[in-house]
Amino acid sequence: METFFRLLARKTGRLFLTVFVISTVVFFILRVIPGDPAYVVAGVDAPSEAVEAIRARLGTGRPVLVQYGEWLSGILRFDFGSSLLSEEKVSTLILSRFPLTLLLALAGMGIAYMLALPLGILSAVKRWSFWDYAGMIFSQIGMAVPSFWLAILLLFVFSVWLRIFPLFGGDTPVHLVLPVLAMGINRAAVLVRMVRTSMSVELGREYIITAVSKGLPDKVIRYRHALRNALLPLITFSGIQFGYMLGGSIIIEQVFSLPGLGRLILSAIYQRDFPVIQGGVIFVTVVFCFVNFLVDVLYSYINPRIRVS
Amino acid sequence: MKTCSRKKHHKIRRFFFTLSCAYLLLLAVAALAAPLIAPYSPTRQFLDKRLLEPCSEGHLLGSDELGRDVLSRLIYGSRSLLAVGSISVSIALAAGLLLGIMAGLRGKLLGGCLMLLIDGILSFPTVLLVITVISLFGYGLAQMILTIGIVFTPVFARIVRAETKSLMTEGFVESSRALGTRRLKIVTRHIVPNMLPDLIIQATILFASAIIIEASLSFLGLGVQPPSPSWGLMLKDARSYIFQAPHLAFIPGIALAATVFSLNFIGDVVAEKLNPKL
Repeated sequence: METFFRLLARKTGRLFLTVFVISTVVFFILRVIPGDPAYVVAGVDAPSEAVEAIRARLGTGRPVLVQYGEWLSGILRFDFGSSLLSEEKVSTLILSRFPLTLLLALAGMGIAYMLALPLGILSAVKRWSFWDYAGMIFSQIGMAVPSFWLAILLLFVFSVWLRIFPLFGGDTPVHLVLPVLAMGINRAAVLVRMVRTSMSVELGREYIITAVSKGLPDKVIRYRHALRNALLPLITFSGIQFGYMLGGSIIIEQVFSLPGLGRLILSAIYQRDFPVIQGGVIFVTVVFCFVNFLVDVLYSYINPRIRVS
Repeated sequence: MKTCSRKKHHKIRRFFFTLSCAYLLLLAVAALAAPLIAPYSPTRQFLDKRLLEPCSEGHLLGSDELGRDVLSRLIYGSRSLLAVGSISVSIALAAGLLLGIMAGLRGKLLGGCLMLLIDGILSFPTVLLVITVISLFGYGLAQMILTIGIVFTPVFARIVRAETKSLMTEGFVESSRALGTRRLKIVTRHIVPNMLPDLIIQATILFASAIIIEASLSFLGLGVQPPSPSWGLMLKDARSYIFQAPHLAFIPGIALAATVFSLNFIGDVVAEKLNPKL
Protein backbone atom coordinates (compact mmCIF):
# COMPACT_ATOMS: atom_id res chain seq x y z
CA MET A 1 0.00 0.00 0.00
CA GLU A 2 2.89 2.33 0.72
CA THR A 3 4.12 2.11 -2.83
CA PHE A 4 0.64 3.01 -3.96
CA PHE A 5 0.72 6.26 -2.01
CA ARG A 6 4.14 7.06 -3.36
CA LEU A 7 2.77 6.50 -6.85
CA LEU A 8 -0.18 8.73 -6.02
CA ALA A 9 2.17 11.49 -4.90
CA ARG A 10 4.25 11.17 -8.05
CA LYS A 11 1.20 11.32 -10.31
CA THR A 12 -0.15 14.36 -8.46
CA GLY A 13 3.18 16.09 -8.92
CA ARG A 14 3.11 15.32 -12.62
CA LEU A 15 -0.47 16.62 -12.90
CA PHE A 16 0.55 19.99 -11.45
CA LEU A 17 3.65 20.10 -13.62
CA THR A 18 1.58 19.51 -16.78
CA VAL A 19 -0.92 22.21 -15.87
CA PHE A 20 1.95 24.60 -15.14
CA VAL A 21 3.65 23.86 -18.49
CA ILE A 22 0.41 24.26 -20.44
CA SER A 23 -0.49 27.57 -18.83
CA THR A 24 3.03 28.84 -19.45
CA VAL A 25 2.91 27.82 -23.11
CA VAL A 26 -0.50 29.42 -23.62
CA PHE A 27 0.65 32.62 -21.91
CA PHE A 28 3.82 33.01 -23.91
CA ILE A 29 2.39 32.04 -27.29
CA LEU A 30 -0.24 34.75 -26.98
CA ARG A 31 2.57 37.24 -26.20
CA VAL A 32 4.81 36.04 -29.00
CA ILE A 33 2.17 36.39 -31.70
CA PRO A 34 3.11 39.44 -33.75
CA GLY A 35 1.03 42.51 -33.13
CA ASP A 36 -0.45 44.05 -30.04
CA PRO A 37 -3.50 42.00 -29.01
CA ALA A 38 -5.22 45.24 -28.05
CA TYR A 39 -5.05 46.37 -31.69
CA VAL A 40 -6.21 42.96 -32.85
CA VAL A 41 -9.26 43.22 -30.62
CA ALA A 42 -10.11 46.84 -31.29
CA GLY A 43 -9.15 46.88 -34.97
CA VAL A 44 -6.14 48.59 -36.53
CA ASP A 45 -7.76 51.96 -37.05
CA ALA A 46 -9.52 52.15 -33.69
CA PRO A 47 -9.19 55.38 -31.67
CA SER A 48 -6.24 55.28 -29.31
CA GLU A 49 -8.45 55.60 -26.19
CA ALA A 50 -10.28 52.39 -27.13
CA VAL A 51 -6.98 50.57 -27.67
CA GLU A 52 -5.69 51.95 -24.38
CA ALA A 53 -8.80 50.74 -22.56
CA ILE A 54 -8.47 47.22 -23.94
CA ARG A 55 -4.78 47.21 -23.14
CA ALA A 56 -5.61 48.06 -19.56
CA ARG A 57 -8.22 45.30 -19.46
CA LEU A 58 -5.82 42.74 -20.88
CA GLY A 59 -3.02 44.10 -18.73
CA THR A 60 -0.59 43.91 -21.63
CA GLY A 61 0.99 47.28 -20.85
CA ARG A 62 2.94 46.05 -17.83
CA PRO A 63 6.20 44.05 -17.62
CA VAL A 64 5.85 40.50 -18.93
CA LEU A 65 7.01 38.84 -15.71
CA VAL A 66 4.42 40.69 -13.62
CA GLN A 67 1.73 39.62 -16.07
CA TYR A 68 3.01 36.05 -15.95
CA GLY A 69 2.88 35.94 -12.15
CA GLU A 70 -0.66 37.28 -12.11
CA TRP A 71 -1.66 34.85 -14.83
CA LEU A 72 -0.42 31.84 -12.84
CA SER A 73 -1.97 32.97 -9.57
CA GLY A 74 -5.21 33.67 -11.45
CA ILE A 75 -5.28 30.10 -12.76
CA LEU A 76 -4.79 28.72 -9.27
CA ARG A 77 -7.76 30.80 -8.10
CA PHE A 78 -9.78 29.76 -11.18
CA ASP A 79 -9.85 33.35 -12.36
CA PHE A 80 -9.26 34.03 -16.05
CA GLY A 81 -10.42 37.62 -16.12
CA SER A 82 -13.59 38.66 -17.93
CA SER A 83 -14.80 38.43 -21.51
CA LEU A 84 -13.91 41.38 -23.75
CA LEU A 85 -17.34 41.33 -25.34
CA SER A 86 -19.90 40.48 -22.70
CA GLU A 87 -17.91 41.66 -19.66
CA GLU A 88 -18.94 38.46 -17.89
CA LYS A 89 -16.39 36.56 -15.84
CA VAL A 90 -14.73 33.85 -17.93
CA SER A 91 -14.96 31.33 -15.10
CA THR A 92 -18.73 31.85 -14.83
CA LEU A 93 -19.12 31.46 -18.59
CA ILE A 94 -17.11 28.25 -18.56
CA LEU A 95 -18.97 26.74 -15.64
CA SER A 96 -22.35 27.52 -17.19
CA ARG A 97 -21.37 25.83 -20.48
CA PHE A 98 -19.31 22.91 -19.24
CA PRO A 99 -22.02 20.55 -17.87
CA LEU A 100 -23.52 20.06 -21.34
CA THR A 101 -20.12 19.25 -22.87
CA LEU A 102 -19.31 16.87 -20.02
CA LEU A 103 -22.66 15.15 -20.45
CA LEU A 104 -22.08 14.77 -24.20
CA ALA A 105 -18.58 13.41 -23.67
CA LEU A 106 -19.56 10.89 -21.00
CA ALA A 107 -22.67 9.68 -22.81
CA GLY A 108 -20.74 9.46 -26.07
CA MET A 109 -18.10 7.37 -24.35
CA GLY A 110 -20.79 5.13 -22.91
CA ILE A 111 -22.22 4.52 -26.40
CA ALA A 112 -18.74 3.95 -27.83
CA TYR A 113 -17.89 1.27 -25.28
CA MET A 114 -21.33 -0.32 -25.51
CA LEU A 115 -20.83 -0.76 -29.25
CA ALA A 116 -17.14 -1.57 -29.29
CA LEU A 117 -16.83 -4.07 -26.45
CA PRO A 118 -19.25 -6.75 -27.69
CA LEU A 119 -18.25 -6.36 -31.31
CA GLY A 120 -14.53 -6.35 -30.54
CA ILE A 121 -14.73 -9.37 -28.24
CA LEU A 122 -16.83 -11.33 -30.75
CA SER A 123 -14.37 -10.49 -33.52
CA ALA A 124 -11.43 -11.72 -31.49
CA VAL A 125 -13.15 -14.87 -30.26
CA LYS A 126 -14.63 -15.86 -33.62
CA ARG A 127 -11.89 -14.94 -36.04
CA TRP A 128 -12.77 -14.83 -39.74
CA SER A 129 -16.44 -15.23 -38.86
CA PHE A 130 -19.32 -13.00 -39.88
CA TRP A 131 -18.83 -10.93 -36.71
CA ASP A 132 -15.17 -10.46 -37.40
CA TYR A 133 -15.95 -9.10 -40.86
CA ALA A 134 -18.75 -6.95 -39.49
CA GLY A 135 -16.36 -5.51 -36.92
CA MET A 136 -13.64 -4.83 -39.47
CA ILE A 137 -16.00 -3.22 -41.97
CA PHE A 138 -17.60 -1.14 -39.24
CA SER A 139 -14.25 0.11 -38.00
CA GLN A 140 -12.85 0.84 -41.47
CA ILE A 141 -15.92 2.78 -42.55
CA GLY A 142 -16.34 4.42 -39.16
CA MET A 143 -12.79 5.71 -39.21
CA ALA A 144 -13.25 7.12 -42.69
CA VAL A 145 -16.43 9.02 -41.89
CA PRO A 146 -15.68 12.29 -40.07
CA SER A 147 -17.83 12.79 -36.99
CA PHE A 148 -19.49 15.93 -38.30
CA TRP A 149 -20.57 14.24 -41.51
CA LEU A 150 -21.91 11.28 -39.56
CA ALA A 151 -23.86 13.81 -37.50
CA ILE A 152 -25.32 15.38 -40.65
CA LEU A 153 -26.24 11.93 -41.96
CA LEU A 154 -27.96 11.05 -38.67
CA LEU A 155 -29.82 14.36 -38.85
CA PHE A 156 -30.95 13.52 -42.33
CA VAL A 157 -32.12 10.00 -41.51
CA PHE A 158 -33.74 10.62 -38.12
CA SER A 159 -34.91 14.22 -38.35
CA VAL A 160 -35.63 14.88 -42.01
CA TRP A 161 -36.56 11.46 -43.28
CA LEU A 162 -38.00 9.49 -40.34
CA ARG A 163 -38.82 12.58 -38.27
CA ILE A 164 -38.14 10.80 -34.96
CA PHE A 165 -35.81 13.37 -33.46
CA PRO A 166 -36.00 17.16 -33.64
CA LEU A 167 -33.62 19.14 -35.82
CA PHE A 168 -30.93 21.27 -34.18
CA GLY A 169 -31.61 24.29 -32.04
CA GLY A 170 -32.33 23.08 -28.51
CA ASP A 171 -30.72 21.26 -25.62
CA THR A 172 -33.53 19.11 -24.20
CA PRO A 173 -32.68 15.41 -23.69
CA VAL A 174 -34.29 14.53 -27.03
CA HIS A 175 -31.98 16.99 -28.76
CA LEU A 176 -28.98 15.23 -27.27
CA VAL A 177 -29.66 11.75 -28.64
CA LEU A 178 -28.24 12.31 -32.11
CA PRO A 179 -25.12 14.23 -31.01
CA VAL A 180 -24.28 11.52 -28.50
CA LEU A 181 -24.86 8.81 -31.12
CA ALA A 182 -22.64 10.61 -33.62
CA MET A 183 -19.81 10.95 -31.11
CA GLY A 184 -20.20 7.42 -29.82
CA ILE A 185 -20.30 5.66 -33.18
CA ASN A 186 -17.32 7.67 -34.38
CA ARG A 187 -15.16 6.62 -31.44
CA ALA A 188 -16.48 3.05 -31.40
CA ALA A 189 -14.91 2.53 -34.82
CA VAL A 190 -11.45 3.06 -33.35
CA LEU A 191 -12.22 1.21 -30.13
CA VAL A 192 -13.45 -1.96 -31.89
CA ARG A 193 -9.98 -2.46 -33.30
CA MET A 194 -8.34 -1.97 -29.95
CA VAL A 195 -10.67 -4.36 -28.16
CA ARG A 196 -10.12 -6.93 -30.88
CA THR A 197 -6.31 -6.64 -30.75
CA SER A 198 -6.18 -6.61 -26.97
CA MET A 199 -8.47 -9.64 -26.74
CA SER A 200 -6.62 -11.65 -29.42
CA VAL A 201 -3.30 -10.95 -27.74
CA GLU A 202 -4.63 -12.33 -24.47
CA LEU A 203 -6.20 -15.35 -26.18
CA GLY A 204 -2.80 -16.23 -27.64
CA ARG A 205 -0.97 -16.23 -24.30
CA GLU A 206 0.42 -19.30 -22.58
CA TYR A 207 -1.94 -19.28 -19.64
CA ILE A 208 -4.80 -19.75 -22.07
CA ILE A 209 -3.14 -22.89 -23.44
CA THR A 210 -2.77 -24.12 -19.87
CA ALA A 211 -6.42 -23.37 -19.18
CA VAL A 212 -7.47 -25.22 -22.34
CA SER A 213 -5.36 -28.27 -21.52
CA LYS A 214 -6.79 -28.25 -18.00
CA GLY A 215 -10.15 -28.78 -19.66
CA LEU A 216 -11.82 -25.53 -18.60
CA PRO A 217 -14.96 -24.65 -20.52
CA ASP A 218 -14.47 -22.15 -23.37
CA LYS A 219 -16.74 -19.60 -21.73
CA VAL A 220 -14.72 -19.53 -18.52
CA ILE A 221 -11.47 -19.22 -20.44
CA ARG A 222 -12.73 -16.41 -22.61
CA TYR A 223 -14.68 -14.30 -20.22
CA ARG A 224 -13.10 -14.99 -16.83
CA HIS A 225 -9.49 -15.32 -17.87
CA ALA A 226 -8.84 -13.58 -21.16
CA LEU A 227 -11.38 -10.77 -21.00
CA ARG A 228 -10.33 -9.55 -17.55
CA ASN A 229 -6.76 -9.19 -18.70
CA ALA A 230 -7.77 -7.74 -22.05
CA LEU A 231 -9.76 -4.99 -20.34
CA LEU A 232 -6.80 -3.65 -18.38
CA PRO A 233 -5.05 -1.84 -21.25
CA LEU A 234 -8.43 -0.49 -22.33
CA ILE A 235 -8.85 1.21 -18.96
CA THR A 236 -5.65 3.21 -19.40
CA PHE A 237 -6.91 4.16 -22.79
CA SER A 238 -10.29 5.41 -21.59
CA GLY A 239 -8.70 8.63 -20.28
CA ILE A 240 -7.42 9.52 -23.73
CA GLN A 241 -10.76 8.50 -25.20
CA PHE A 242 -12.38 11.04 -22.92
CA GLY A 243 -10.08 13.68 -24.38
CA TYR A 244 -11.13 12.68 -27.89
CA MET A 245 -14.72 13.03 -26.75
CA LEU A 246 -14.07 16.56 -25.46
CA GLY A 247 -12.47 17.49 -28.78
CA GLY A 248 -15.22 15.76 -30.75
CA SER A 249 -17.81 17.58 -28.72
CA ILE A 250 -16.45 20.93 -29.93
CA ILE A 251 -17.25 19.88 -33.51
CA ILE A 252 -20.54 18.15 -32.78
CA GLU A 253 -21.90 21.06 -30.74
CA GLN A 254 -21.40 23.19 -33.83
CA VAL A 255 -23.38 20.77 -36.02
CA PHE A 256 -26.34 20.66 -33.64
CA SER A 257 -26.07 24.27 -32.38
CA LEU A 258 -25.71 23.09 -28.79
CA PRO A 259 -24.63 25.72 -26.25
CA GLY A 260 -21.67 23.82 -24.78
CA LEU A 261 -18.11 24.74 -23.93
CA GLY A 262 -16.98 23.98 -27.49
CA ARG A 263 -19.23 26.64 -28.96
CA LEU A 264 -18.08 29.11 -26.32
CA ILE A 265 -14.45 28.55 -27.34
CA LEU A 266 -15.25 28.63 -31.06
CA SER A 267 -17.18 31.86 -30.93
CA ALA A 268 -14.39 33.33 -28.82
CA ILE A 269 -11.94 32.33 -31.55
CA TYR A 270 -14.09 33.99 -34.23
CA GLN A 271 -14.42 37.18 -32.19
CA ARG A 272 -10.86 37.18 -30.83
CA ASP A 273 -12.07 37.26 -27.27
CA PHE A 274 -8.66 36.40 -25.81
CA PRO A 275 -9.55 35.90 -22.12
CA VAL A 276 -12.28 33.42 -23.08
CA ILE A 277 -9.97 31.56 -25.49
CA GLN A 278 -7.23 31.29 -22.85
CA GLY A 279 -9.59 30.31 -20.09
CA GLY A 280 -11.48 27.80 -22.21
CA VAL A 281 -8.37 26.14 -23.60
CA ILE A 282 -6.73 25.85 -20.19
CA PHE A 283 -9.91 24.59 -18.58
CA VAL A 284 -10.37 21.85 -21.18
CA THR A 285 -6.76 20.70 -20.95
CA VAL A 286 -6.83 20.69 -17.15
CA VAL A 287 -10.03 18.63 -17.15
CA PHE A 288 -8.43 16.22 -19.62
CA CYS A 289 -5.24 15.93 -17.54
CA PHE A 290 -7.24 15.44 -14.36
CA VAL A 291 -9.33 12.64 -15.89
CA ASN A 292 -6.15 10.94 -17.08
CA PHE A 293 -4.70 11.30 -13.61
CA LEU A 294 -7.79 9.62 -12.14
CA VAL A 295 -7.61 6.83 -14.71
CA ASP A 296 -3.91 6.29 -13.98
CA VAL A 297 -4.51 6.04 -10.26
CA LEU A 298 -7.50 3.77 -10.76
CA TYR A 299 -5.50 1.57 -13.09
CA SER A 300 -2.62 1.16 -10.71
CA TYR A 301 -5.12 0.39 -7.98
CA ILE A 302 -6.90 -2.36 -9.91
CA ASN A 303 -3.86 -3.85 -11.55
CA PRO A 304 -2.26 -6.12 -8.96
CA ARG A 305 1.02 -6.19 -10.85
CA ILE A 306 1.51 -2.47 -10.24
CA ARG A 307 -0.11 -2.42 -6.80
CA VAL A 308 2.24 -5.03 -5.39
CA SER A 309 5.54 -4.25 -7.05
CA MET B 1 -12.23 -24.08 -43.76
CA LYS B 2 -10.04 -21.52 -42.14
CA THR B 3 -7.48 -21.42 -44.95
CA CYS B 4 -10.28 -21.16 -47.49
CA SER B 5 -11.84 -18.09 -45.89
CA ARG B 6 -8.38 -16.58 -45.50
CA LYS B 7 -7.82 -16.93 -49.20
CA LYS B 8 -11.13 -15.26 -49.88
CA HIS B 9 -10.18 -12.59 -47.40
CA HIS B 10 -7.01 -11.86 -49.35
CA LYS B 11 -8.95 -11.65 -52.57
CA ILE B 12 -11.32 -9.10 -51.09
CA ARG B 13 -8.39 -7.14 -49.73
CA ARG B 14 -6.66 -7.05 -53.09
CA PHE B 15 -9.85 -5.85 -54.74
CA PHE B 16 -10.25 -2.98 -52.26
CA PHE B 17 -6.56 -2.17 -52.51
CA THR B 18 -6.81 -1.72 -56.29
CA LEU B 19 -10.00 0.28 -55.89
CA SER B 20 -8.37 2.56 -53.31
CA CYS B 21 -5.33 3.17 -55.50
CA ALA B 22 -7.51 3.93 -58.50
CA TYR B 23 -9.64 6.37 -56.52
CA LEU B 24 -6.63 8.24 -55.13
CA LEU B 25 -5.10 8.41 -58.59
CA LEU B 26 -8.33 9.86 -59.94
CA LEU B 27 -8.35 12.40 -57.12
CA ALA B 28 -4.75 13.41 -57.77
CA VAL B 29 -5.46 13.88 -61.49
CA ALA B 30 -8.58 15.89 -60.68
CA ALA B 31 -6.61 18.13 -58.33
CA LEU B 32 -3.74 18.69 -60.76
CA ALA B 33 -5.84 19.20 -63.86
CA ALA B 34 -8.77 20.96 -62.16
CA PRO B 35 -9.01 23.89 -64.64
CA LEU B 36 -9.10 21.45 -67.57
CA ILE B 37 -11.64 19.02 -66.12
CA ALA B 38 -14.03 21.20 -64.15
CA PRO B 39 -16.98 22.35 -66.25
CA TYR B 40 -17.19 25.79 -64.56
CA SER B 41 -15.24 28.02 -62.23
CA PRO B 42 -15.85 26.87 -58.63
CA THR B 43 -16.99 30.34 -57.58
CA ARG B 44 -19.19 31.18 -60.57
CA GLN B 45 -22.77 31.71 -59.43
CA PHE B 46 -25.72 30.79 -61.64
CA LEU B 47 -28.29 32.65 -59.59
CA ASP B 48 -31.19 31.39 -61.68
CA LYS B 49 -30.16 27.78 -61.14
CA ARG B 50 -29.97 27.42 -57.37
CA LEU B 51 -30.20 24.09 -55.46
CA LEU B 52 -30.44 21.98 -58.62
CA GLU B 53 -30.68 18.24 -58.15
CA PRO B 54 -27.92 15.94 -59.45
CA CYS B 55 -28.11 14.98 -63.14
CA SER B 56 -29.64 18.32 -64.05
CA GLU B 57 -28.82 19.70 -67.44
CA GLY B 58 -25.36 21.21 -67.48
CA HIS B 59 -24.79 20.41 -63.78
CA LEU B 60 -23.97 16.73 -63.38
CA LEU B 61 -23.94 16.82 -59.56
CA GLY B 62 -26.40 19.68 -59.20
CA SER B 63 -25.78 23.14 -57.80
CA ASP B 64 -25.65 24.71 -54.34
CA GLU B 65 -27.56 27.50 -52.64
CA LEU B 66 -25.72 30.17 -54.65
CA GLY B 67 -26.07 28.29 -57.91
CA ARG B 68 -22.45 27.15 -57.98
CA ASP B 69 -21.70 23.89 -59.77
CA VAL B 70 -21.16 21.11 -57.21
CA LEU B 71 -18.92 19.02 -59.48
CA SER B 72 -16.61 21.95 -60.13
CA ARG B 73 -16.42 22.78 -56.44
CA LEU B 74 -15.71 19.15 -55.66
CA ILE B 75 -12.87 19.01 -58.19
CA TYR B 76 -11.33 22.29 -57.02
CA GLY B 77 -11.91 21.35 -53.39
CA SER B 78 -9.68 18.30 -53.77
CA ARG B 79 -6.82 20.74 -54.33
CA SER B 80 -6.92 22.27 -50.87
CA LEU B 81 -7.47 18.82 -49.39
CA LEU B 82 -4.40 17.31 -51.03
CA ALA B 83 -2.33 20.46 -50.55
CA VAL B 84 -3.05 20.63 -46.83
CA GLY B 85 -2.42 16.90 -46.47
CA SER B 86 0.85 16.78 -48.36
CA ILE B 87 2.37 20.03 -47.07
CA SER B 88 1.52 19.44 -43.43
CA VAL B 89 2.71 15.83 -43.50
CA SER B 90 5.94 16.92 -45.23
CA ILE B 91 6.54 19.56 -42.55
CA ALA B 92 5.92 16.98 -39.85
CA LEU B 93 8.16 14.43 -41.57
CA ALA B 94 11.06 16.86 -41.97
CA ALA B 95 10.81 18.21 -38.42
CA GLY B 96 10.23 14.75 -37.00
CA LEU B 97 13.29 13.34 -38.78
CA LEU B 98 15.48 16.15 -37.50
CA LEU B 99 14.26 15.98 -33.91
CA GLY B 100 14.11 12.19 -33.83
CA ILE B 101 17.65 11.71 -35.13
CA MET B 102 18.93 14.35 -32.73
CA ALA B 103 17.20 12.67 -29.81
CA GLY B 104 18.40 9.26 -30.94
CA LEU B 105 22.06 10.16 -31.48
CA ARG B 106 22.67 12.61 -28.67
CA GLY B 107 23.11 11.59 -25.09
CA LYS B 108 20.59 11.19 -22.38
CA LEU B 109 19.94 14.81 -21.46
CA LEU B 110 18.83 16.27 -24.79
CA GLY B 111 17.21 13.02 -25.90
CA GLY B 112 15.38 12.66 -22.62
CA CYS B 113 14.09 16.22 -22.64
CA LEU B 114 12.93 15.94 -26.24
CA MET B 115 11.16 12.68 -25.52
CA LEU B 116 9.43 14.14 -22.48
CA LEU B 117 8.11 16.95 -24.67
CA ILE B 118 7.15 14.56 -27.47
CA ASP B 119 5.33 12.16 -25.17
CA GLY B 120 3.58 15.08 -23.54
CA ILE B 121 2.26 16.32 -26.87
CA LEU B 122 1.37 12.82 -28.04
CA SER B 123 -0.73 12.16 -24.95
CA PHE B 124 -3.15 14.86 -26.09
CA PRO B 125 -6.01 14.01 -28.43
CA THR B 126 -5.40 15.42 -31.90
CA VAL B 127 -8.59 17.43 -32.25
CA LEU B 128 -8.15 19.07 -28.88
CA LEU B 129 -4.55 19.93 -29.67
CA VAL B 130 -5.35 21.28 -33.13
CA ILE B 131 -8.11 23.53 -31.86
CA THR B 132 -5.87 24.74 -29.03
CA VAL B 133 -3.04 25.63 -31.39
CA ILE B 134 -5.43 27.23 -33.90
CA SER B 135 -7.01 29.30 -31.15
CA LEU B 136 -3.57 30.67 -30.32
CA PHE B 137 -2.26 31.19 -33.87
CA GLY B 138 -5.46 32.43 -35.39
CA TYR B 139 -7.31 30.73 -38.24
CA GLY B 140 -6.92 30.41 -42.00
CA LEU B 141 -5.37 28.09 -44.57
CA ALA B 142 -1.69 28.74 -43.73
CA GLN B 143 -2.28 28.52 -39.99
CA MET B 144 -4.13 25.25 -40.48
CA ILE B 145 -1.27 23.69 -42.46
CA LEU B 146 1.29 24.83 -39.90
CA THR B 147 -0.84 23.61 -37.00
CA ILE B 148 -1.32 20.14 -38.47
CA GLY B 149 2.40 19.99 -39.23
CA ILE B 150 3.31 20.86 -35.64
CA VAL B 151 0.80 18.46 -34.17
CA PHE B 152 2.03 15.55 -36.30
CA THR B 153 5.76 16.18 -35.75
CA PRO B 154 6.00 14.21 -32.49
CA VAL B 155 4.48 11.12 -34.14
CA PHE B 156 7.36 10.96 -36.61
CA ALA B 157 9.95 12.05 -34.06
CA ARG B 158 9.12 9.18 -31.77
CA ILE B 159 9.40 6.54 -34.52
CA VAL B 160 12.61 8.06 -35.87
CA ARG B 161 14.23 8.15 -32.44
CA ALA B 162 13.38 4.54 -31.63
CA GLU B 163 14.62 3.35 -35.04
CA THR B 164 17.79 5.43 -34.86
CA LYS B 165 18.64 3.97 -31.47
CA SER B 166 18.11 0.40 -32.56
CA LEU B 167 19.85 0.86 -35.92
CA MET B 168 22.91 2.41 -34.28
CA THR B 169 23.55 -0.88 -32.49
CA GLU B 170 23.24 -2.96 -35.69
CA GLY B 171 26.35 -4.68 -37.02
CA PHE B 172 26.49 -2.88 -40.36
CA VAL B 173 26.30 0.54 -38.72
CA GLU B 174 28.95 -0.36 -36.15
CA SER B 175 31.32 -1.66 -38.79
CA SER B 176 30.76 1.45 -40.85
CA ARG B 177 31.56 3.56 -37.80
CA ALA B 178 34.65 1.47 -37.13
CA LEU B 179 35.80 2.24 -40.66
CA GLY B 180 35.66 5.91 -39.77
CA THR B 181 32.56 6.99 -41.69
CA ARG B 182 31.36 10.39 -40.59
CA ARG B 183 28.18 10.63 -38.57
CA LEU B 184 26.22 12.60 -41.13
CA LYS B 185 27.03 10.03 -43.79
CA ILE B 186 25.98 7.16 -41.52
CA VAL B 187 22.67 8.91 -40.97
CA THR B 188 21.99 9.55 -44.64
CA ARG B 189 23.40 6.25 -45.90
CA HIS B 190 22.27 3.73 -43.31
CA ILE B 191 19.84 5.13 -40.81
CA VAL B 192 17.32 7.04 -42.91
CA PRO B 193 16.96 4.52 -45.76
CA ASN B 194 16.37 1.72 -43.28
CA MET B 195 13.48 3.40 -41.56
CA LEU B 196 11.87 4.66 -44.74
CA PRO B 197 9.23 1.91 -45.00
CA ASP B 198 7.90 2.62 -41.51
CA LEU B 199 7.85 6.33 -42.20
CA ILE B 200 5.94 5.84 -45.43
CA ILE B 201 3.25 3.81 -43.69
CA GLN B 202 2.95 6.41 -40.96
CA ALA B 203 2.82 9.21 -43.52
CA THR B 204 -0.08 7.51 -45.31
CA ILE B 205 -2.08 7.19 -42.12
CA LEU B 206 -1.30 10.75 -41.02
CA PHE B 207 -2.25 12.00 -44.48
CA ALA B 208 -5.68 10.51 -43.88
CA SER B 209 -5.91 12.20 -40.46
CA ALA B 210 -4.76 15.50 -41.95
CA ILE B 211 -7.57 15.31 -44.48
CA ILE B 212 -10.16 14.72 -41.76
CA ILE B 213 -8.73 17.63 -39.76
CA GLU B 214 -8.76 19.89 -42.84
CA ALA B 215 -12.40 19.08 -43.46
CA SER B 216 -13.33 19.42 -39.79
CA LEU B 217 -11.60 22.78 -39.37
CA SER B 218 -13.05 24.13 -42.60
CA PHE B 219 -16.43 22.90 -41.42
CA LEU B 220 -15.96 24.87 -38.20
CA GLY B 221 -14.93 27.93 -40.22
CA LEU B 222 -11.35 27.80 -38.93
CA GLY B 223 -9.70 26.42 -42.06
CA VAL B 224 -10.20 27.25 -45.72
CA GLN B 225 -12.09 30.54 -45.92
CA PRO B 226 -15.00 31.09 -48.32
CA PRO B 227 -15.44 31.52 -51.21
CA SER B 228 -12.51 29.12 -51.82
CA PRO B 229 -13.86 25.64 -52.45
CA SER B 230 -13.25 23.01 -49.78
CA TRP B 231 -15.17 19.86 -49.00
CA GLY B 232 -15.46 20.83 -45.34
CA LEU B 233 -16.90 24.21 -46.30
CA MET B 234 -19.34 22.58 -48.73
CA LEU B 235 -20.59 20.41 -45.87
CA LYS B 236 -20.85 23.43 -43.61
CA ASP B 237 -23.16 25.17 -46.09
CA ALA B 238 -25.05 21.96 -46.77
CA ARG B 239 -26.05 21.66 -43.12
CA SER B 240 -28.51 24.53 -43.49
CA TYR B 241 -30.09 23.07 -46.64
CA ILE B 242 -30.58 19.54 -45.39
CA PHE B 243 -34.32 19.71 -46.11
CA GLN B 244 -34.23 21.24 -49.57
CA ALA B 245 -31.05 19.71 -50.98
CA PRO B 246 -29.67 16.72 -49.08
CA HIS B 247 -27.40 15.87 -52.03
CA LEU B 248 -25.25 18.84 -51.04
CA ALA B 249 -24.40 16.97 -47.85
CA PHE B 250 -24.03 13.56 -49.45
CA ILE B 251 -21.68 14.24 -52.33
CA PRO B 252 -18.72 15.92 -50.56
CA GLY B 253 -19.14 13.59 -47.60
CA ILE B 254 -18.94 10.45 -49.72
CA ALA B 255 -15.91 11.83 -51.57
CA LEU B 256 -14.24 12.65 -48.26
CA ALA B 257 -14.98 9.31 -46.62
CA ALA B 258 -13.76 7.46 -49.72
CA THR B 259 -10.48 9.39 -49.65
CA VAL B 260 -9.83 8.67 -46.00
CA PHE B 261 -10.88 5.06 -46.41
CA SER B 262 -8.53 4.57 -49.37
CA LEU B 263 -5.55 6.06 -47.53
CA ASN B 264 -6.20 4.05 -44.37
CA PHE B 265 -6.68 0.88 -46.34
CA ILE B 266 -3.52 1.31 -48.38
CA GLY B 267 -1.60 2.08 -45.19
CA ASP B 268 -2.94 -1.10 -43.58
CA VAL B 269 -2.12 -3.33 -46.52
CA VAL B 270 1.39 -1.95 -46.93
CA ALA B 271 2.02 -2.28 -43.19
CA GLU B 272 0.92 -5.89 -43.29
CA LYS B 273 3.15 -6.61 -46.30
CA LEU B 274 6.19 -5.12 -44.58
CA ASN B 275 5.63 -6.64 -41.14
CA PRO B 276 4.01 -10.04 -41.66
CA LYS B 277 3.99 -10.55 -37.88
CA LEU B 278 1.06 -8.19 -37.36
